Amino acid sequence: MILYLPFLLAFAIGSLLFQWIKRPSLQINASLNAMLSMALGLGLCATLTYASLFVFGGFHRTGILGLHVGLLIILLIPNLKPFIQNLRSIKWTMSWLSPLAWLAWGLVAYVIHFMALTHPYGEWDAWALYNMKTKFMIAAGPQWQSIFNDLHWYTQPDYPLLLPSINVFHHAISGQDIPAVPMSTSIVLALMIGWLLFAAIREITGTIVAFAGSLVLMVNPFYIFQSTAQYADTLLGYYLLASIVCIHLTFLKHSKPMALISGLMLGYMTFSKNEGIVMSILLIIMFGLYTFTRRLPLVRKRQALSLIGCLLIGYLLTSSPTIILKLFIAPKNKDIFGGLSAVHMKFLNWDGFMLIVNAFKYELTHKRWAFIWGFLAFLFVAANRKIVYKECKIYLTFFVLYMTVLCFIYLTTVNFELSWRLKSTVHRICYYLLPSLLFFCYYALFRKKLDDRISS
Amino acid sequence: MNNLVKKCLSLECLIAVTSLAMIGLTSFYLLANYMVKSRQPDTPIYEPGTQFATFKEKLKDVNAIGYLTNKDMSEEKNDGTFLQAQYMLAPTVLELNETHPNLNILDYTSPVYTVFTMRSLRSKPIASSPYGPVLAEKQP
Repeated sequence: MILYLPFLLAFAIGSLLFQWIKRPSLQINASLNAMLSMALGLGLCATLTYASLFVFGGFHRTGILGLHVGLLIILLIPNLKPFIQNLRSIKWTMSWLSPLAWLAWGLVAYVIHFMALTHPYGEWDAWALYNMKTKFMIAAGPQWQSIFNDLHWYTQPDYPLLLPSINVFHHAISGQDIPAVPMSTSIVLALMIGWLLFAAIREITGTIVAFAGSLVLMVNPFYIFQSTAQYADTLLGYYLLASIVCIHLTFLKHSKPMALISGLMLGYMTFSKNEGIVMSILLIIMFGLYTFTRRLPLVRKRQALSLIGCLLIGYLLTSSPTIILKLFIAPKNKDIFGGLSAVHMKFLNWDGFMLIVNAFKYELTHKRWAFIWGFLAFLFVAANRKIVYKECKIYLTFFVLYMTVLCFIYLTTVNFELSWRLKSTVHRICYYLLPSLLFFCYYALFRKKLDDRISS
Repeated sequence: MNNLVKKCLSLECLIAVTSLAMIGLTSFYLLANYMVKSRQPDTPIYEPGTQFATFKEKLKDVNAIGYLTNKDMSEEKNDGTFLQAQYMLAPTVLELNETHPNLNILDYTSPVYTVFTMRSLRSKPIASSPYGPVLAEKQP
């Protein structure tokens, strides 16, 4: 139980913060409320822990505990009354499906836990990069910043540190060590992604569809394997899904607080992995372009444009650790665009492009995915023209643009063999995009129906 | 009756049924996976870098050491032994093929190279791993 205490603390902090930002008038279902609170709280606790390493000159358990308990008290004072009122107003409706759903989720949680125990140290990058850096952050004292300056470049010194920071926070609160800390983090994140997907789909359509949609992902054996591999991909997938869900809520509710929360989620995404920076920038551009080009009456247009400001404020707040890390602390990245200094890019040609296409073709049809990509293709076809309905355009363009950027990054590979790079990364890209793609397909399928329901 | 048929043919129902069919199919894969894994309960799981664990005690409060090797350490050809050592011995920094530190891990393909390197660095072994690597300290 002690292993999951840090997540309860993060959830409590996140709930209060979510309550504080979100107005009472903004109604969303209780499960989505809880899942977004968790995402917000986890990101905040990790960022605070990361900042504490600079403030205290290294890991300081009492300091970290004090900071979080202090924050909890600060958030409790103005929020306690509305929080209790909000808790009372939540209507927990039990249907015949509820016990069945909890039974299924319980089974899935057991299987995820079991699979995590079969590789407790995680897979390659997990122990070699993230868990190794966690060890430095916990045990190196003031020398913890060696991870940026002194470690070999194979350890990717420029990588953002959200996952190690979550693990350090976990260690500070629970007192547990590696491998228990990263293993429990991976289990929680694997469940959170599934539940967030359920809550988000439930916001646009019926509970049965939402439950089935989330379970399609949660029972996928390769999803479970990758989730328990302890990579930062899980965190990236989690915040990408949270960002997309928040952006969808922003448009659906025309809500400034939700735009701010979207920005906060996008900012956390930048601190999870380098790919998160690219994705957040693309999503912000898409968000801005869509808002600018929407045909709306002048008053509503002004309101819509103010959403961009709110989103950017949130983004600046939570992406500041990444900005500081990238500009002032970490060395330059050598993997992307050949470190921008390559003389000869031997894969920047048609053969290189075909190699990438074939690698994705191979991955998407691989039997380890248990036909989930075929199912996704079915949803895509079923959605038909709805795939470009209203804000669906943002997500579709985002996915296309992101794949284009990835393709360009692959083509400009200089430090490794492209085939080796593809072999070690394509399945991970598919993995972190999968929850968001599933949500996008369900969203496209039911978004128009939601409008029809509102107008009738 | 008409309403029931309409409800059954609705998009929501169609998607729910397809999703449930997909869950059934995927659960079969998951069950097979689970059964395979649960039949190997005694398979030992080693922590990455176990071959360097014996050096841990000698490296308390040591900030940096060298890691000398003649093995292929490119990422494609398994930089693993270096990263495994770095993981196991963290928070000590390992400097790949740098000879200036006082302490060095010698991880060579043959003991002949290890002895030769120790002689050329004027160092003596202070710990050795049954898997091959040696921790050597330079002599004054």
